Amino acid sequence: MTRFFFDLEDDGGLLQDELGAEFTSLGQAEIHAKQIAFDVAKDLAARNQRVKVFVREGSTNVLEVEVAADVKK
Amino acid sequence: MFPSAAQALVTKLRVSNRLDAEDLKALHELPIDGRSVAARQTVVHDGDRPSQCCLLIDGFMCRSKNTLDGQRQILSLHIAGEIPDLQSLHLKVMDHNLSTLTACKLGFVSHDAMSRLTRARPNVAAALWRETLIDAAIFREWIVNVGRRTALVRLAHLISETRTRLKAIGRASDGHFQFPVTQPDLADCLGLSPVHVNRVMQELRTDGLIEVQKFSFHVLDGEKLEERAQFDASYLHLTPSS
Repeated sequence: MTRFFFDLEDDGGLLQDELGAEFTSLGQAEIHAKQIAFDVAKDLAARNQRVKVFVREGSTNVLEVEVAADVKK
Repeated sequence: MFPSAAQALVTKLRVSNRLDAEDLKALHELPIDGRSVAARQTVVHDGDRPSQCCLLIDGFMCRSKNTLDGQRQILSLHIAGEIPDLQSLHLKVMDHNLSTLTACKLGFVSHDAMSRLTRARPNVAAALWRETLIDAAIFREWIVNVGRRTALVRLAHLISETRTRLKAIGRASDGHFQFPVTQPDLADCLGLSPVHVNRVMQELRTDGLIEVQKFSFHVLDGEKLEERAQFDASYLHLTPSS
């Protein structure tokens, strides 16, 4: 098991994850990061145009997930 | 038995029920086997057939269910004086887990003793029945919370509810209360990820509604917090009923 940290960036700024969560693989951590990004984007749709989740192992960024609302008028 | 065991039960029951001197005497004579249990222990498991009820004397417990892929949903939080598995007196097989969230003092009362008490004191039986109905009212509110409210409102609602319940038993004052649960615990109560809880917790702090130091909560503006939470305490039925 590896502990990954999920830092969240939205229109309110960057929030560092100090707790992290353990996953068996980076693939599982990626699924979790997508779930966070979709959940936060949905929850804060009124305020956010884009949400990013940076996945860290220790201090090293290992992947990044971005969800953006592309609004056309 | 811990000396405060029966008193914790009486204090909680009296929040929503009128009990006479004979009822109180019977409750104080209830045989309670007291034990200290560490945090994060499952006391009664899904599928168990308990022969006793668990009275929470001090600490916080939760009822939960797990999905097949191991995700936990916390169904309810429990505070001192509550008997979270009271239904096991009549429903013989547990359909969820009952666990400690913090180090707890627990009191175990045999089903036989509970049955004798409820037969001898119909008013106590009515009070316990009423407690299970209030439990159901809280479940209904949690369904709305998890199903329909935004993350910020969910968390604000949970904080408002916990503060109100603790205040009713004398364990919160001036907006201060101890609520020693972790962000992953809160996330499992709210159907969110811990990161998302952290995000909305920060927003409640930034908006000047709460302060959290370690596990000590301070509600800075209760009225505004409850407004943000869409919190109406009437479902907690905090007025004694005869």
